[in-house]
Amino acid sequence: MSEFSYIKAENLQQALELLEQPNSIVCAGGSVLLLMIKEGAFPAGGQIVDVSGLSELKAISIDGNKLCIGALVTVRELLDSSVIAGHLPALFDACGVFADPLTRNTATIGGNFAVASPSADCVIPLIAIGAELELTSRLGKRTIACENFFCGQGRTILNKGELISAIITPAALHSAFCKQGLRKAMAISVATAAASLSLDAEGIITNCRFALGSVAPVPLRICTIEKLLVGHSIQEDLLPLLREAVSAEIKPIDDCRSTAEYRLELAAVLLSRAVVSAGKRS
Amino acid sequence: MRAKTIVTFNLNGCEVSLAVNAEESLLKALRHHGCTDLKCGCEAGSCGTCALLLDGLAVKSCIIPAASVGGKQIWTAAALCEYDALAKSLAESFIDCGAVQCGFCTPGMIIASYAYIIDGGTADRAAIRRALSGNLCRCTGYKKIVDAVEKVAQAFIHIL
Repeated sequence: MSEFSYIKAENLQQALELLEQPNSIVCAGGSVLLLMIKEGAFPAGGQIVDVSGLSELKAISIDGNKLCIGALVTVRELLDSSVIAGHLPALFDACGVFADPLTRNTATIGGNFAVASPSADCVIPLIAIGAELELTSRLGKRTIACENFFCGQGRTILNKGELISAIITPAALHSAFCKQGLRKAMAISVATAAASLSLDAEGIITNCRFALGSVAPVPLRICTIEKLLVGHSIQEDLLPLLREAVSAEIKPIDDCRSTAEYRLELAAVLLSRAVVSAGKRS
Repeated sequence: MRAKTIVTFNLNGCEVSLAVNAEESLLKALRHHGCTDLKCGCEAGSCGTCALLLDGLAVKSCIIPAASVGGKQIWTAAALCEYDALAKSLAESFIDCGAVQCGFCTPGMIIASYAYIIDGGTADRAAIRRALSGNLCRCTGYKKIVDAVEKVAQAFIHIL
């Protein structure tokens, strides 16, 4: 006999009704769900609501200068999409180092947000790019900047009955993502950095957005460092400036993967590499 | 306690219906059903020994809820090697190249290699290693596995 029950939602309306139940547990790709159940994350009696069949959440589309990525698009599908490669290179970078090829076949971009790890590889570039999440419930839709979605390690501002339906983002041609883990695949990052730049004709940074992963309880945007870099050229060696700024802004921890001291240095180096890579893209 | 879920799908060419718990993995459900070519390694989505083809995509069955595969097509390594020429040549190449020691990672390696070649993968050792980066081997040091896949990729002609 089961401790849990399972239902596959036939359509979005049914899914939203089911997700209003207090004991509902959403399942998309299911990359971490069974593990979480085994670890006792959910009380017995829960209902697994499988939303993986909702085709309305599986599209990648462009509307003017906005891209819309359905929450059920898998990491593999993002990698196969010329739209993503052409318009969101930082996200494309991240998908290429996300877990491993098999996991990418089922892991969804919405799921990467919902699990809310500070190391979430798809989240970090989207914060830098300035993307928003669209959240849908029976009451309607709302959007929220990606960096405001997280309120603690593994915790989000998603209400009961709400489903992440899409990621809505501008194009970000000068963007890049860098990851360092203890191995080249299947690695929770020691640190990650993403940069999205606006440059003038001489290569001077007119605007920039940065995000760091694995250095805080949440995926982190760092506005103070962004302000520091405006007016600088991408030809400069920005590492000394970034090193000082990053160590003032973040307080990483020691854990099983690395030390706070190493993360401080690594975050600055990865951010500087992301800025260089982003600047070189055209 | 809740009732089991009945899930009906195509397994290695035959339609089957299984009664599964909501929280049961596809790996466990299929092993109980007799597919012991699927190996249970980490049960956490890391080692890849449980890999199979789900609607043509290579996936790790230990992290897939068994109840979610209704209406889908599944191939496991042993059956694939029996019925599919590419999979069979991969299995033979693994044997010829000494890529099988304890054999525990082999079914998952075959599935991942198969998916790599079907997706257009070439005899590029770095690309082969990336394709197999979700499959762990504790015995061979990977070189002979890469040799085996490279040999098949070289011989396989992509018919457009």
